[in-house]
Amino acid sequence: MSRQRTLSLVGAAPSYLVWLAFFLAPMAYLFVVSFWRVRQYRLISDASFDNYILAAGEYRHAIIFTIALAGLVGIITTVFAFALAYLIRFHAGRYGDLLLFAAMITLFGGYLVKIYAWKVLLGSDGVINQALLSTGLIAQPISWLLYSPIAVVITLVHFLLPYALLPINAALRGVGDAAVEAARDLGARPIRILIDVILPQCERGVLTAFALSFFVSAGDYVTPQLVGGPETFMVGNFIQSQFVNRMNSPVGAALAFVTLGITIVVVFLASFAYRRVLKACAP
Amino acid sequence: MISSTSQQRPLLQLSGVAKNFGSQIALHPVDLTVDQGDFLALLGPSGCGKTTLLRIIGGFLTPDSGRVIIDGSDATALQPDRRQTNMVFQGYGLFPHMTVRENVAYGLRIARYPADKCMKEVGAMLEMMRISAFADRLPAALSGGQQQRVALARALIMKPRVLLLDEPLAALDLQLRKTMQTELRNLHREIGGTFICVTHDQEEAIALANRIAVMNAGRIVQEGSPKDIYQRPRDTFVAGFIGDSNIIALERRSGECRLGSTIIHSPGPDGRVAMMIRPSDVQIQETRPVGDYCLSGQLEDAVFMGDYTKLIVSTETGDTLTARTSRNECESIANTPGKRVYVSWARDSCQIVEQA
Repeated sequence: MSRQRTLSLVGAAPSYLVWLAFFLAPMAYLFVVSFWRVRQYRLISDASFDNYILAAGEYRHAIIFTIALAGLVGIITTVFAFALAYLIRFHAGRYGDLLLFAAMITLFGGYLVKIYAWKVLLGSDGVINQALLSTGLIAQPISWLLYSPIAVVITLVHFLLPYALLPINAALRGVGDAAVEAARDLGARPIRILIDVILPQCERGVLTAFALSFFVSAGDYVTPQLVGGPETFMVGNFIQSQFVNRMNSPVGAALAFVTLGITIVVVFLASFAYRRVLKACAP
Repeated sequence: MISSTSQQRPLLQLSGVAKNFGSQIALHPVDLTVDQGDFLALLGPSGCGKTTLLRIIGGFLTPDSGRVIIDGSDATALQPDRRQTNMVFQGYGLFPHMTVRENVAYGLRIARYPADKCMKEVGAMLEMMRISAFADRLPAALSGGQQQRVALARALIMKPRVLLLDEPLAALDLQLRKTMQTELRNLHREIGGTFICVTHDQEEAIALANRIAVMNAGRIVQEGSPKDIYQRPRDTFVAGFIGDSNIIALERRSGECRLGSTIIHSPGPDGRVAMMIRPSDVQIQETRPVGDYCLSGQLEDAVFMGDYTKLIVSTETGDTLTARTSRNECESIANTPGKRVYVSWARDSCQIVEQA
């Protein structure tokens, strides 16, 4: 190996080390553990698929529910984020950066603050119910606003919106004014321009936003615990309970990998569908 | 008497078109007419309002006042998609995710052309613009000149009454720009359409257009044929902008301007004016010539430019004059800086222009 190459490898070593220590090694370890088992609170190395069979069987409903809920959160968040980014890119003019900043600044409030804020808003004597009661639209407080899957969806969408905004905003900035104006010049109405010119150029940004909000939702266990009520269990809650309460990390790891595998498949399907739907909508 | 020309309706007519951006005046009220078959160049430095004017014609901007009349009907309030104009955008604005064929076909597909008719027209257009070979490539895989042709094809397939071109050749390198100038000229002649082109390059304007409107600070300063504008610039701005020129500030008093011992007759009000003379019309000699306008001076510099040599002389009046001399001519005088020379020019080759 030439001196040059050795040097460049040495120079890149810290980066590889960080990548190895923070991503590859823990994942690999957890993946191996997912084939082990626990006897009397001790890990025993094994090569069985029992944990996976358990995950696919007993926890099937939790996984399906989690994927559905995370998918819903992903879609709503992406659509909202796109609407905001579109506003910033095409209508807000020089106030665009201000709008983006306003969305980003809510990140400083932290995760738990947002959850508790929604608890206050959605509760039986919360702001929303009180307002509806006072207008006479309802006679009794709506009980299912808080401690329900709906509360989880609302809270997660709100929390994830700024994160989803970033990749879509970046993608929309990459769409040239001239291409948009050319489409207009050639007779396309705004909705056609969106479908034919803007969305195809934002594929990566939109899918990144969806994947980000979908992955985070599918792995979350704090939000369902705090606003989901006693009947909303997502797979994250079961994973947490396996690791913490039952001290059974192999089952927890298997559950995590099953969820991860399914979410990756869903994101692949979404990226496939994205193109197909746009193609089908072409003039 | 009504002449035949006044009966002919102009294809495009702008009357009193003005535009402000906030407190910034982009365009003072502008009048302009363009006839069927014209190739008009809107020429001016950046920020002169030429692109604003083009975008108003295309419908991308609404003027604050004035009217845009295309083919006899008022188009002032019409959106770009409802006008019989199409634009070739600066940087082309090709759809990066569509192939060349899809790009060119887009307008027809929006207009819901039957598929077979659309295919046929696109095929013919690709053939005409000589881009059939790249029909299934994405724009990113094309060279600048090829992208330019795709942008032209995409606009021309809509059969616009007026084709608008926003700095169409600015993104190309010099060699390609020259080639595309010729192509654009030929294209205009072939299809007999009406083109309006925005450019900041005076050479391009002269090479392309049969009419030039020179713009400065939101106004059309002068309008006419390239030859007209080159030979009879209205003021020092036009004279300086079109072609190389020597501009010497003078004072006009009772119809006369004095330059050294030379008196140039020029009717008009008293005040500050300027004399304009093209470098190619200036002669440099070692002995004082007779007859013509003449100044003595010192040779400052001789710059070899390839086809010609630029001689720079500071004159007895304290002005600097540039002369363009052929290689042979230049060798006939020893061009050592500091040498005493005479600059002279023919009476009818110089002219007095207003100060801009």
